[in-house]
Amino acid sequence: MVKLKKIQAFTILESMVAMVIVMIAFGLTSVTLINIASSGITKEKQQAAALAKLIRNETLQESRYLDETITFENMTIEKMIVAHPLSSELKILQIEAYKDKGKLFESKEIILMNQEL
Amino acid sequence: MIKAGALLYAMFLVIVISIITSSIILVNYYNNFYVLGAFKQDQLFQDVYSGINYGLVFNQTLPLNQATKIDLYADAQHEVFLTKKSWGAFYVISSKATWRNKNASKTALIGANLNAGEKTAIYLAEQNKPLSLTGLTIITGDCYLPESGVKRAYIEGKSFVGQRLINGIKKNSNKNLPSINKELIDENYHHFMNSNNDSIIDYEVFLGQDSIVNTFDKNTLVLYSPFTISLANKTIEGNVIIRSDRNIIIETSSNINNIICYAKGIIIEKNSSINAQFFAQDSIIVEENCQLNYPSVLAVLGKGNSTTQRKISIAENVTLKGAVFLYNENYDRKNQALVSVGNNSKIMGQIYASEMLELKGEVTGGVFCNNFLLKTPSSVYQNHLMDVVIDRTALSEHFVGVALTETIQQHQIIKWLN
Repeated sequence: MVKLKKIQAFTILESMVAMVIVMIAFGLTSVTLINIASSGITKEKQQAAALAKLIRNETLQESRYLDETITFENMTIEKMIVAHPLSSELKILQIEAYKDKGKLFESKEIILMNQEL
Repeated sequence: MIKAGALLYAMFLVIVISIITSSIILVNYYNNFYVLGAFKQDQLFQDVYSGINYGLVFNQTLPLNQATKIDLYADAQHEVFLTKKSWGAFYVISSKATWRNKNASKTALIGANLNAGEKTAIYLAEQNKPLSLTGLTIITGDCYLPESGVKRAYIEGKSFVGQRLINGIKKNSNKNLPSINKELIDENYHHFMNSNNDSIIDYEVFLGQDSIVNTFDKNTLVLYSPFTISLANKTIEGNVIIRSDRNIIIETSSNINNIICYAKGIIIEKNSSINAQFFAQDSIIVEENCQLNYPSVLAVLGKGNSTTQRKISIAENVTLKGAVFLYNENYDRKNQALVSVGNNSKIMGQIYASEMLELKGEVTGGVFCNNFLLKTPSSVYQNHLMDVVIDRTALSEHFVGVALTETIQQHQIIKWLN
């Protein structure tokens, strides 16, 4: 007969304390991860930035200096041509990306009318 | 007493979890850092372009050779440093933006928007003599002419063979030409004497060097010699000024791009193909078959009295894209300043001759002169044009020229320098 090695058992109290510690560790981890995921540059923000860049390039290439609202999936991109406070020859091309009324991205650029960059 | 066996396991698990968590946090942090950096870099470039556009509009108010901080949207978030410096007949505008260790910069050569004002084909000052046309002369565009107008002439057995004398509106000119941009003259004239804020080096130092390249984000490199400079088998490019107290000779073998030359006299040898600005005090001679690419400038700036005739002489079959101008401060009847353009030569841009213009080639653009001169084997005629084409309407709307007259205020980009 093989004699099995004798393993010392834990008491319920020991196990409970260990479980509590592990639970706290898990809890803190999930809170941190959720915070990072929501506060950092999300995939949505990156997508919004890419779309804004695309619209900016199209606007300059095609000289399409109009106020426009573009909807892409759940995202809304607002393009505005704003008057420059100091000169009528200059305009401000302002592009803002929104999702559920929350602003994801914003870019501004001074443009000279009738001149392509 | 509680046994600590399970606690040890728990602590081990906690450490493992913390390592995994910190790794995820670290990866996320670096990812955010990278993406934020890319966003910021894009934003910096947009700010830099915005700065250049701002500089184009407020060019007149920007100080020369001095960085000016511009808060683009008055929010302290988008700030650029604009620097303007005179570059011959043009200006160079640099825009720089920085954020932490990131930076972006663009430099552009800018000139005058010729389409902003009147599109004049000919401005001939009122000297009480009409403009006479003969041979196959075609003039397209609005013209400022003496009150006596324009007429047909018969010279050397040739009569006017065109359908209309002028294809455009005729207006009356004044006794004087529109005054030349004094700032342009003064800024360039002082370069004949000295160059502030620049690195002046004796040209002899570079004699053995085949190529000299200096970018526009550095100080201007001025190569100076009190003697005649002959450029042969050399590549000289960018932010470089060559100055001589005597003459500069551009030989066919030289390859020069974007530079400026200042001298008493300048000779461009035949078959040269270059892109540069040339400023002389006495004369510029361009020999046959040369190609001066856009934007090139030939200018004689004559101040004070001279014993010799101040002139710009362009030989046959020369192509020049840019501007040709001659300014003579003191009128000397015996030595009248002369701009001459040879047969089959093509000038795209502007010609401004404060005194005489002998035109035989083709001009796509505008011509300003006190009087035209026509030399034939048998005689010399005043205010006559023979077999000449001047077409202002054919000049591209994208052509950016020199602010020769003070009325031109709008500026546009000629080309990006970095």
